[in-house]
Amino acid sequence: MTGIRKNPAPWRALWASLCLTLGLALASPTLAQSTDDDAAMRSMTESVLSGLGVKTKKKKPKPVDETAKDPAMRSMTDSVLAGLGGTKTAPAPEDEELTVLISRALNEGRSDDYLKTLLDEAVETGELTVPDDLKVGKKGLDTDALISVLRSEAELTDGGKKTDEIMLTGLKAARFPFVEMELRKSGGKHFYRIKPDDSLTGIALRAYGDAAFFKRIFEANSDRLASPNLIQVGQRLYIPDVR
Amino acid sequence: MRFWFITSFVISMIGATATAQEVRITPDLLKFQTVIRGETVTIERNQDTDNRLSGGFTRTSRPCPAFCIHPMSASPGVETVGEIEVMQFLEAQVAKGTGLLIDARIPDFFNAGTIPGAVNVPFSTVDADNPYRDDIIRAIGARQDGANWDFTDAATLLVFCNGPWCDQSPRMIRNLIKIGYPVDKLKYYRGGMQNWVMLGLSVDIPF
Repeated sequence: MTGIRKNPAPWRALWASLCLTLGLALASPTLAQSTDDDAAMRSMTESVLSGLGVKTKKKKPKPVDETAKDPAMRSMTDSVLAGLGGTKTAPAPEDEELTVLISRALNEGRSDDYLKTLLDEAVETGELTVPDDLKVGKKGLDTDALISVLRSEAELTDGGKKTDEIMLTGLKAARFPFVEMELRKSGGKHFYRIKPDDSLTGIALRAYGDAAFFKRIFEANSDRLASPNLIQVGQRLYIPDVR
Repeated sequence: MRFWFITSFVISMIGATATAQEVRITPDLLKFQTVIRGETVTIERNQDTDNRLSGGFTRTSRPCPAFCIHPMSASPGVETVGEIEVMQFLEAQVAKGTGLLIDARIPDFFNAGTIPGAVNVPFSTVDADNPYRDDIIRAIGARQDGANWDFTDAATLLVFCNGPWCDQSPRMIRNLIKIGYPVDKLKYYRGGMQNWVMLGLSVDIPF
């Protein structure tokens, strides 16, 4: 399989993403289980979704939704509460908020199918409302793309310490997974010029149908990229072929 | 004959002291154990009589301010305790669910090693600056009555941090008193991790 994918079949992308992310999840040290990571991941997830205007219905009414206020304190408080509660086993999923479920699923290296079920269910029951400008297709939310980006960014985000902005731009890119990329061909190679709101994971998603391939792009451009998180508008990236 | 008698006596004495040489906690206590939330918590001392500390806890002169020596009392009415009292507290209160042994340090320190049976409540989380502080106060048994707190069923807290030069547990204690936490439900283990490891006592690595 060679060439740049412009419109990969969704099932193929899902399968590739499933294999890759499962492998990455098992190998990745950043997905170690600990309450801190859980809480940090939850905080990151919440910030992302709230930043996008994706509203999740809270199971128990809270006076004010302050999650955007101080994510670091939120995550630290969550760790403390978990420790005080003494729960080492996960509580019943019905009682859990969506973001908690997603972040735990990410940390535990759950399959894409599992994540997809969580997200699809949430869209069905109306627990997850997607703003109009984020709707793709009939379902209302391109869950495959969202999962793909969440996974890859979870790897890049060192326990939730990196900025929400990265996640946000990645998800913005996830809205348009199969939009034709403007690629310039030069000496048999494909090049892409970075636009505002682009992220390596988003570019990988569009080029290969799977955000996890951001590593391939980063490796191929390591001479001009200091880190996968630092890309500049106007920069030219070499997009290697998928084998 | 007398020479052999004395020699064998001396040898038997050396033998006797070598096998009897244990490192107990108290004359009556070699190993402390209790059950907290279904898990057995064990505290004993390092039995190597030549053991020495290495690393951070051997430092004698951290800069002050920041790492100043704290007085015996964290706040009027708050009892200061030692290692034996920490163990007694674990058995009498924590195991019964009426008390909590609190490691007031930030998570990095807690995860590197803490006193067995302790939970991590970083000092900053009970600061007025934490918008989610009330969640924690409620989790330790306090009830909110409008703007006031009712601490009738709140847990007794034994708080510690890194050592007599560490500010985090006294600060936490002061912040709790500020919102009305009863002083007789607060205790200060001034020795902290420094003194705990200095005595060769068991250290728990949470994850």
